[in-house]
Amino acid sequence: MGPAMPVDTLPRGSTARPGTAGPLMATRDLAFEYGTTRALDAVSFDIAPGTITALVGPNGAGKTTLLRCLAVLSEPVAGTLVIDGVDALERPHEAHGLIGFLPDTFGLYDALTVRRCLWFSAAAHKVPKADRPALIERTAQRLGLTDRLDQRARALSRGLRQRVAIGQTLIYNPRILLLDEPAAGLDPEARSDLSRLLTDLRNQGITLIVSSHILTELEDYSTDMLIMDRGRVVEHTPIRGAERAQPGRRLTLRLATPDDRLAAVLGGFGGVADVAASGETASFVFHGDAAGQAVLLRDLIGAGLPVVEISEIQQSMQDLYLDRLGRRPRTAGARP
Amino acid sequence: MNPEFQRNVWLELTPTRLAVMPGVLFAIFAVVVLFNTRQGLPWHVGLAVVGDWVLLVLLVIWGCRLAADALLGEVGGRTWDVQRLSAIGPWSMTWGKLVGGTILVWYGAALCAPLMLVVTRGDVERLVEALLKGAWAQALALLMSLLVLRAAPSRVGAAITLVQIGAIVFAFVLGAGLGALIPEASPIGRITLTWFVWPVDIHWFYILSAAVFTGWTVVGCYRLMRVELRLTGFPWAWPLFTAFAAVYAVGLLLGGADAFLRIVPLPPDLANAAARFAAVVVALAITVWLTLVGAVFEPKDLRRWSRWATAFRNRQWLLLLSRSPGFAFTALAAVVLAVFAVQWAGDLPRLPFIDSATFAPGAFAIALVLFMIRDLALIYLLTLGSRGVGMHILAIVLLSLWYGIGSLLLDLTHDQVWHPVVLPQFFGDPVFIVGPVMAQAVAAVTALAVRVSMMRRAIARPPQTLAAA
Repeated sequence: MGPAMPVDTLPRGSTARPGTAGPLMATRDLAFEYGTTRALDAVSFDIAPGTITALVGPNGAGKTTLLRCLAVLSEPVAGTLVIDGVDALERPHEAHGLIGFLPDTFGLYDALTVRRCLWFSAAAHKVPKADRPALIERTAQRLGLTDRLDQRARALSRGLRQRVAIGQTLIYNPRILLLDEPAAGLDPEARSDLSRLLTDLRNQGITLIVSSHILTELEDYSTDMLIMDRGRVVEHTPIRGAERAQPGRRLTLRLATPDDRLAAVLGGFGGVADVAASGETASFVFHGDAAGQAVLLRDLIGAGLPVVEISEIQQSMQDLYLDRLGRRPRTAGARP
Repeated sequence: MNPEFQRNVWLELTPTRLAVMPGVLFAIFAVVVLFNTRQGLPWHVGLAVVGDWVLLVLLVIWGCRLAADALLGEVGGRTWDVQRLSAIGPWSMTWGKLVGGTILVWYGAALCAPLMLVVTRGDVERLVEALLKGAWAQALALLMSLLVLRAAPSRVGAAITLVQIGAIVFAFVLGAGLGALIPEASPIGRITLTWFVWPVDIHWFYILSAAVFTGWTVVGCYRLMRVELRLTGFPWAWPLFTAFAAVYAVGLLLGGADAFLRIVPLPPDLANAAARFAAVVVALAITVWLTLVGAVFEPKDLRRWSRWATAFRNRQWLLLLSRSPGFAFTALAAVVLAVFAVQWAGDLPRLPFIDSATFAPGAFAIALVLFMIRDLALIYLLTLGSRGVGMHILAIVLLSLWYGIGSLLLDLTHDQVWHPVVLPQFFGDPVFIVGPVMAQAVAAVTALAVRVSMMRRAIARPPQTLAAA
């Protein structure tokens, strides 16, 4: 992600796309301990406005702890957290107004009707009394809950309960929404609805961080991925359709016959980096456009290499996740 | 309307409950009246006692559960985080939970109250006392819930019953303690006591005292709620409560001094000196004790200390004060009181009933403050950075053993030499009264400094500022 900005120059209220404005949320060296166990260690990243960040990692990686710290519900032992220009650890109550947090259990009052759940949330966030009825109707409409307003929360399906919980959050218009395992326990249809809903929320200007284990579904709507392992950030990168943090594309090259010169020749070209060659295949990062790629191909053939194919490696979120966690080798051209 | 109160009213005062409560109360009282009729007794016999028990069960036993559930139930139901993220202020949250969460039992009490007044022939004191006991117990239950939440946030689910029982026991202990503190407190007869120089009806003094302590309990809930909602501000409540407790006790002491002087007549100047010293020592002892209590319950993590140090380095004095723990001010007040005690101890050796050769009241005051410093260091040494309740309990147990068992053991030995090691002493060589505890205080403070330094190193890297990133 882009370079961090000083606390006092972090923008407020910006809705610009990533890369064109400062971060909406920024953490530096966040550390959290349960007793003597370090649950988060040196966690630093920026969240650009208007993004959906998939927070992924194995069990015990620290995802929920991180979300609780970002929601300023748990107090880290060290580090800084700035949300929309507010130093959240110094002024947590102020930061709370910018955040919506959905725990995996949704935090609903089951005995209340949907209307009363929404009323309570609006009143608890100081929405003017006169505005509440219209806002409740509008939020219910936005989430497809209009015909459920007078039902008790406990009578709803898990998917609808989740919508009510999201509604409780949206009613006070937070800048950033944190969701902990929102897809857990949902049936396929509800998961599909959730994907659409989160994409809609992003389109309406809300920045989201979503913790989940279901990578294939995160891939449908996430713009960025934050991989955590053992309390540390392993990777934070844009995915599909977004600008990548590290410029360049990873390409794979295949020769008709093995050539020992492959790595050396490739490494000699400008714009080529991180070469991993083995026998007749190689993978490398290429900093250039399609025209540059054509020139590279011409020059490789000119250098006497029997090139059969050059293609871009399309890594899925799952591939990237497993790769960064060291759970399997790269898809092409095993590293030496 | 306070949304937290409104939400609780929705949840607690359902139409079914509104209908069932009067039905159950009517049934209980009807059984008594029926029994009386069958026995040929007047209809109202025993109704007042049954009413007392109904109020006790409703307001104290059930009320404590509801008050604990108003907070710990939220945590268990995973709705507390949502509440903490809301804009509900700490005061609204406190009374919304305390009054809203227990509204059902107060509805029941409101139904009982007119009947109680009828059957007790307008005994307002009796009714007020019953209602006050309920309010105090419920406030204690919420206070204890907040403390449990602070001490063991991940284990509060099963704590509701524990807090309920704890609050009931604590309410009775405090009520009984208050009764014992007030001489001859009895609902029978109209006895007056003197508080400072003012004569007060003893039963109303008891009721007013309970009301004021209930108020302080609610203030305690409010302050703890502020911390839960991550609000900061000047820690006025604990120093103010300590000052109140000291003044309250000194008032009783000086009020009782007349009776003492009737038994042991003293020249006026010496009587004044003795009263002044006794007052300052009582105030000092209460301040020291409440300082230690405050230190046990204060949140402890290095981040707070580091913020305090940052404010100190930047010479932001107001920020420094607001980031200081409440017990720091009471500790400072203890030092000031000790200075006054030393100053005012000068005339006391002339008292006729003591051994003036070994009487060292000034050394006692200094030793008391040194014990406080040692204990503060010990509490922090054991609990700093620990989020669990175990080390806090260990600190309380160690100090209780030291002062309880230690002094008992010393009483068994007749060797006076060891006494100043365990407790501050009024009699003896001032050097031997102060010396041992000074050594202990220095050792404890040094050990604490080493631990803080080790903990700071354990946090791998110092926080990197965003500006520097």
